[in-house]
Amino acid sequence: MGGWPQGPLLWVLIGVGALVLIVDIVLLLDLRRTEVRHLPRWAWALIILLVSFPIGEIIYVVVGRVPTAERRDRVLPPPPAHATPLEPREQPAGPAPAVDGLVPPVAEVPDRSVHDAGRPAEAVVATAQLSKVYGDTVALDRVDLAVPRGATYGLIGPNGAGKTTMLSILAGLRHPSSGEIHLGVDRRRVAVLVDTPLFEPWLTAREILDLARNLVAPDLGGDSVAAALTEVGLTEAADRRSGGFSRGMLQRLGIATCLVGNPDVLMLDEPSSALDPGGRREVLDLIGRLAGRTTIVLSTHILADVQQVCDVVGVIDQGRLRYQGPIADLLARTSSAYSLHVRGDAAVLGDRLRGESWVTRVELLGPGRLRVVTDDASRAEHDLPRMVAEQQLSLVSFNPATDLETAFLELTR
Amino acid sequence: MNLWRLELLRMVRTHRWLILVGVYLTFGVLGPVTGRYLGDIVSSFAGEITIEVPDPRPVDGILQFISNTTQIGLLAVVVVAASALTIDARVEVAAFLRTRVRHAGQLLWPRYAIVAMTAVLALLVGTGTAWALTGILLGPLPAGPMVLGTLFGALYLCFAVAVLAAAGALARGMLPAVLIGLGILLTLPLIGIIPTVQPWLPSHLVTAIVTLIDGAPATDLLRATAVTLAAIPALLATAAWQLDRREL
Repeated sequence: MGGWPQGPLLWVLIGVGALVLIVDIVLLLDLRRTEVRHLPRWAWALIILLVSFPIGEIIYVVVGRVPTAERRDRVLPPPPAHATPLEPREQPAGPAPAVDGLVPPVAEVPDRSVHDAGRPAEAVVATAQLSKVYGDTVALDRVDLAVPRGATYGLIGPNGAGKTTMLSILAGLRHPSSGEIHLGVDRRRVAVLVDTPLFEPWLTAREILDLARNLVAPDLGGDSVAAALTEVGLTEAADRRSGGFSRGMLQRLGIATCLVGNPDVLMLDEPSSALDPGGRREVLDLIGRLAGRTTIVLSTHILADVQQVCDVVGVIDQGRLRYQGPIADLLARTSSAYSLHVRGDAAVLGDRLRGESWVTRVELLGPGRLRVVTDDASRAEHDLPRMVAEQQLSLVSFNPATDLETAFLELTR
Repeated sequence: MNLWRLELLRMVRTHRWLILVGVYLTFGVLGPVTGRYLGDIVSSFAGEITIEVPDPRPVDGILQFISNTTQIGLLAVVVVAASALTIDARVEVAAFLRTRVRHAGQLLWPRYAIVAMTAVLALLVGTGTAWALTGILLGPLPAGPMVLGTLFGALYLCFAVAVLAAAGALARGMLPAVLIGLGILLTLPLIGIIPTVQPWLPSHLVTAIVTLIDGAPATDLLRATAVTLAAIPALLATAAWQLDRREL
């Protein structure tokens, strides 16, 4: 009695022990990679390790582990017919992307903007087949985002489309279920503003900005804090605690925390959605001033904002990227309308316009006022002023009457 | 402004340090006073009944202090620690900080250190007050066991705060973190009912002052000290790892 088992019994016990060890290691490795349900991963790890062999292991495989086939079914439905840009985008000139990434290292990327000669620049933020799955919900489905360097990129879509999820993943606050993210800059050079920024209420605006500066750009002096305060118009409130700030002031302070580190990329999630018209105007003006100085990714469902400040747009709906490219291209490819105000007889001009092949519809809105719907925006922009002149009319105003909403609805309908 | 100053300001401007120091200071006063006058207090309420209360000893003053701080004092530490160490409790504030650091551990270390230091400071203030008042009201206490016992008690508080760091990483909100932390810290003494396990548990350090004053050698506390010293970094590493994995 007592002592270590010997003979065949010892070898049986060693074999059983080795089997338990191997099975548990395999399952724990599998647990790290696979998707689980009902309980967090750490709880499943405890069940595998602590519940008697093989009951814990079986429970995990049967109950906790989401089968590979089920994951594939959810993540990989057939792509929509127009999930990619409506036409292949022009490939950027210059050095080819690095083999292991979509974006070459920063030093190799020439600092060209989309504004340069209308050609797209290299993507400073890009994703490849990026997907995010929450339980049974596919929040993002193989999104290939490409934000050109220097662009103001509007990520638009209805509520729940996946915009915030996308920005959260790009910001490193959430992890993708699959796919890759490529940043052409150091992550700390990417500043992120959540939709409703909040700060410790017992810190002053100046302290919050100084903290942000110290964390992302400690080499910058205190002048950058003062400059950021000035930029967002909070100089007079600099030494007030943020707990007493209005929503608009918090939003501006949030933008200042992004600016203080002089970021290369600025990601703004619904920056104006919670603001009154005055606050919204201020934020849009601020974004407008930043355009060109830094790459901006702006997520919003307010399409008028995008139309005002963005030059590139990505339309996301139900987790899928429906369109990506210059906003002008998107408008040109969808039904467009223009409002025309002339001095003189607009009806004569209207009659002539109705005979043009590129004119879909002409509406006489009032004395001297027309609304022209066209299927070729670029031709309308070229020919309409000329035709007004040929009719001996004075052109008072000529504005696009098609907003992004029309284009957006056509894409997501 | 760096993260250390941020945490110092959090402790000062939210007046959390006052809660901790106030609680320990209060019990530092009440312990010796209760120990000295317990007999008189009981007799005054006894009426016709005669109650024999043994003469108070100097150790009774510190025993009352330890007894009170083990319950209410620890609760105060747990609540204050949970309020500071639930980093993701407010998503917007967490997003501001987490998008500006390389890993969540950068946020965790200063928070842990400042809370633990404040808790230890409160313990030192409370113990010092109790020691001084006991000397005045009940008689002197030996310096060696007092100092060494306080250090062991401080180590236990560091452990308690580390438990809350881990609880704050597991649970997002403050209340769940408090419940998890209290659950762990209150379970340890229950496990200590098993005689062979008790010397290994961090909770064994709570009454170190009384143990040492009663004449037990400090070596009796070495096993609990070793476990506690190993548990603190393990808990903090777990907390940092979990925070990095968690999505906002």
